[in-house]
Amino acid sequence: MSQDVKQHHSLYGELCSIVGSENVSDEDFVRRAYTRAPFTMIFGYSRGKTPGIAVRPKTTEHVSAIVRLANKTKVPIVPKGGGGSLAAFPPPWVGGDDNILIDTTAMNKIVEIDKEYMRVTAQCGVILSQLADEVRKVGFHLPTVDVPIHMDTLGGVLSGFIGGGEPSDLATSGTMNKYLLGLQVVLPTGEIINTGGGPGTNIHQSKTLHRDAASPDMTGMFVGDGGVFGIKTEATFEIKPFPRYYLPGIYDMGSWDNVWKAFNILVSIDPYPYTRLLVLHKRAGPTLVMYIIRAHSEKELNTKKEIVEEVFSSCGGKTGGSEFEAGMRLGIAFSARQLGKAVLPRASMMSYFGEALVPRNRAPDWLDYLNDSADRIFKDIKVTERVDFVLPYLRAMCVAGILIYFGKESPAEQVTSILRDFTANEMHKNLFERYGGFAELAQGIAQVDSASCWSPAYKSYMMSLKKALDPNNILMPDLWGF
Amino acid sequence: MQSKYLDELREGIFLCMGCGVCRGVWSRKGEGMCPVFATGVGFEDSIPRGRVTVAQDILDGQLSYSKGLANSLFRCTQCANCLVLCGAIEEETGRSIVDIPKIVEAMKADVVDFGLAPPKVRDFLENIQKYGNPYGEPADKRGKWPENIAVKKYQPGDEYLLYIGCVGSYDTRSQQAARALVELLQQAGVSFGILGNEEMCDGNEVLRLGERELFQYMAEENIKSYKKLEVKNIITLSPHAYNVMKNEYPRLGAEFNVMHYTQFLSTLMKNNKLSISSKFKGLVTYHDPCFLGRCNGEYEAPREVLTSVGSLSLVEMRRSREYSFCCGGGGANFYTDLIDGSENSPSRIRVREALETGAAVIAVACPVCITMLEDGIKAEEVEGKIMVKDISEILVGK
Repeated sequence: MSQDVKQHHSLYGELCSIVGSENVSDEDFVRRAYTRAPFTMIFGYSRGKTPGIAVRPKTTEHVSAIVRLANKTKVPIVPKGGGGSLAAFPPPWVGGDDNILIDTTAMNKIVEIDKEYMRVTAQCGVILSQLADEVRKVGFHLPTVDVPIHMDTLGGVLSGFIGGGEPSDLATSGTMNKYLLGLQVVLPTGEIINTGGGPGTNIHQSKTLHRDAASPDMTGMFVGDGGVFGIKTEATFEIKPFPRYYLPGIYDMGSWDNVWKAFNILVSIDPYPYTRLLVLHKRAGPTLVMYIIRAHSEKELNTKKEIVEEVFSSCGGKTGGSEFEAGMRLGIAFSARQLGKAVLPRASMMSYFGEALVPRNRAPDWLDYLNDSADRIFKDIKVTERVDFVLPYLRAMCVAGILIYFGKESPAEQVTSILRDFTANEMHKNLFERYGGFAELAQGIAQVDSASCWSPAYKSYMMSLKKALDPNNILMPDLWGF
Repeated sequence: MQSKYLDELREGIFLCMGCGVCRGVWSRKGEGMCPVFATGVGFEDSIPRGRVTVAQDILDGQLSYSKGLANSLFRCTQCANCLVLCGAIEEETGRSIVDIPKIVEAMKADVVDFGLAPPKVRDFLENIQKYGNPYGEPADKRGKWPENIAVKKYQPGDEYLLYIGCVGSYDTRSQQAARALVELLQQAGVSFGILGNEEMCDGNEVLRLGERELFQYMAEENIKSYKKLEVKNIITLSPHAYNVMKNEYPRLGAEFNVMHYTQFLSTLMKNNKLSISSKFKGLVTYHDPCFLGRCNGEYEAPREVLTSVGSLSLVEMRRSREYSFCCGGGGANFYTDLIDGSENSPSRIRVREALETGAAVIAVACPVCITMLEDGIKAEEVEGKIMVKDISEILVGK
């Protein structure tokens, strides 16, 4: 039981004066609630450190005042979004007994949807599905991350994922960063800046209409930074008319060679005839390709369909019948919304095993390596379902990995221990050194592995930037594990 | 301070992946949302995922219960939206793997045992203990709700016991729904009776608040009394009573059938024993009560009886059926009002969702929902635009 007279965090009073006492808490149960990242158990990571105090700002000005206070008192800050990170965020070594945790989820306003100039501005604590839905309501489309759209905040995704988040149409649209026009950021010293071609870079502009200011592209600097360069409080994105015509399909390609032949033909076609491609494969099982076509007219839809079907057929693919059902069953496992309903009834634990960004032509080898590794390290563990997958990221790269569902009877501690050891001691090393890949998440544990690949010159540049922007090392200190 | 009640839920607590989908999202059509999350008030501990994190820490000895934690826990309405959103079900048993409402209920029970319950919760429980109702009203006022309507007392041999419950008995607005229901049953010639002043609280809220011993005493007393009266079938006005009598009483020895009144009316209509002559007109939206819908899977019966009124049109809110948004009254919040939220209080949000449909009437099938949503309408200052009617009132044309 807590003591009757509680000793508050040293900044409790000042933080209350900034955001109101209802938005500040240093209660044990509140602080502990922020220590868990999703899938922590599966990925074998322990809880993060317990913050000293949690704050829920509602405005950029609140954030600025908190950061200034942190600088004055040299108390570190850990910003947190929706808590959907797959990479133990904040990682266990960041933060400490006294740090301020900024919970950004109260900054969830959609500031403006501008249909005339086709852009949207939102606070960075907004949940992505809310943002996508509000844009959709007025007939537009904003590519946001596919998994986990219901959990992640805009700021969290822009900070954490490589390229600022992978939408479901990553194959053809690229990452969310491609649509980002500008940001409002609170710098580590508390100053507020606006990036992009708007009022921050041109005092005569009232709106951010494009990203290219008469300056270097400072917007990109804050994408995938893990929050070390500043706290993003608002973001403006380009939006597009929503493509109303939709067609999904599945082909059984018979073999990996056939898949790969078709895959390489399709990614070289301009414009892309598909919106999404996903290869699902089970060792000694079917080799399926799921595709989704979106279009603005029936004519466009049919034209794209003809191209896609011709490529698949010419490469030995067959469609219809039982493979469609099998494909849908496998495909549904990739829907975050269906995660619990589709997956957990069959098993109680899942893991994306070795999911990474790899050069397109190395993807088959990477999957072979993962499959061989999975055979080896899980040989004594009951695996309920195991599907390897690859999807293109534009033309040169792929996202590839294995989805594994462990049986409910599988010992969780053993599974997590195996995963932890494999990731730490073998997988990332092989990914970087042998397959030329990148850790997909630029956050948490993966951040350190990614940073370990930086060239000395790049590392020195990054450290100089960090030091210049954050002289007191206030924001996410040592996230990159230098 | 060890938990007495969490251990039995340990497996599910530690299987939670912490994905956060249990919170729900604001705008997505057709999907649910945790009403506490929707208020925008509170920290990670007050959303379902955070509550499981706290439970893990309590089991691991990392956290102890405190008054602050108690206040956070009792904001939960146990509406089970999180359970539907999570959707992790054991294939073999069909049970939820991470039963968040049960986890919260167990923590509430610990809190009550340790004497840390918030004052309003203590008041609620004390009133139940002393007076048999949460309002602290004398027991001899319980049977006054029929006013000028003649309703016979239940006697052995009657086919049905009509159980009204605390809110229907004491809350003047909900009493109107109770009287309308009596009118319908009498019109159909149903053999039924009420208990009047002898009726006792069903204990659903007592259990939800974690006072397990008091609940057991109340349930056993009720069961004993019903057995003495040879009760075979119970019709409840409230989904809360229906829930507890259907799901909790049997393990304590109850052997009677329980139906919510909408289920009973639906059966009567199907058997041509009740014809509705109501000329109630207009666009109506139906609000699924949590304890009838999500907790017991009954979505059709209320809609069937509503649509039997040919002059009205039924329109669905964007969150309905299993994703229906809680009015905020569950977990005794209709009395304790711990959920807070001001302009984003659940009842106000729900009223705004109802207004979006263009409906002039929110139809409900729960006395708690009546009071909560009417409060929401007042707070939103939309009294002239929309009103709340119990289905029974609509069926009698009021």
